[in-house]
Amino acid sequence: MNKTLPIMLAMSLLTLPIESAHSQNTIGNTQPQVSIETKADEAHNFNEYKAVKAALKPYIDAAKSGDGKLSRSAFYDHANIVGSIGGQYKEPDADAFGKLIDAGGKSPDVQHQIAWIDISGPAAAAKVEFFNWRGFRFTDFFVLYKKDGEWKISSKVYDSHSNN
Amino acid sequence: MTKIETSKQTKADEEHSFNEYAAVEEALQPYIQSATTGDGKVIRTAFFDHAHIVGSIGGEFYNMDADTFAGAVADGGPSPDVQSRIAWIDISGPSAAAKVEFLNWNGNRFTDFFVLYKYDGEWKISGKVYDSHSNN
Repeated sequence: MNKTLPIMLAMSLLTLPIESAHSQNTIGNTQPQVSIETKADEAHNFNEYKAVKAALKPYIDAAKSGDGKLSRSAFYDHANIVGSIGGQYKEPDADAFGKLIDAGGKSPDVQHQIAWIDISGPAAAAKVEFFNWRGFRFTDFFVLYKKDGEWKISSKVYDSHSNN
Repeated sequence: MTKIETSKQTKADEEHSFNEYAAVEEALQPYIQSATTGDGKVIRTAFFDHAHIVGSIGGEFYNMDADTFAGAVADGGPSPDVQSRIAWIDISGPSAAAKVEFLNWNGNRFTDFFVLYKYDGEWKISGKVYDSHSNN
């Protein structure tokens, strides 16, 4: 018996499944085609983080300055600010919240950290931590939306930690 | 010694903070289930009265209150093949945020961001924004 025959058989066994797998790939391809990001897409989705940060800035700056008008400018008209302070549940709208910021006044020693931002198209969420906002520790969760090129806060909930 | 003394978590604290994830998941369930059934009444129960649902579909910007959104879901009808994934949940005390992904909700791909609040022991959605991907 030819010594090469078993080798040839083994080789044909090896190549057969490879060929059939290949033909499945070319004929029965079911993988959906995905679009490839352009350089402009990359720059855009990177810069959106800065845009969301910029949208949060009037709110964050107003924590320090106590400027109700400035804080108000960060929110859509419909936004509600929901949480509790000193055992009292509150859900002021954006106008009422602006007035509360005015009434609270300045808080020069407040510190903040933007913990995270998550963006999907024109929608986003963010978490901002505050320390010593007139003595309070706050954790804020925001949802934001980009309309006519401008990000604004659509809703906010907060945790006032030891003072809920 | 300048080390700040921090309070020690009890076993009950540990259990509570762990179980809150299940409670938030549960609060999202009426919303997620209504995607399949198209039940406006059920979806309405997931939201506070003041909640707004903000996004765009087919080039149209929509800012709906909870009642209007429930009507829109009822009008949309059942979507038996919709798939969903809770991507993440983040909780701080009585406040939380969540991201939920949908595929084929009446043909649409959605990414939803929620803020939720726990009032009288019950978590509800306080606000929602969404991305409708190729159909914004």
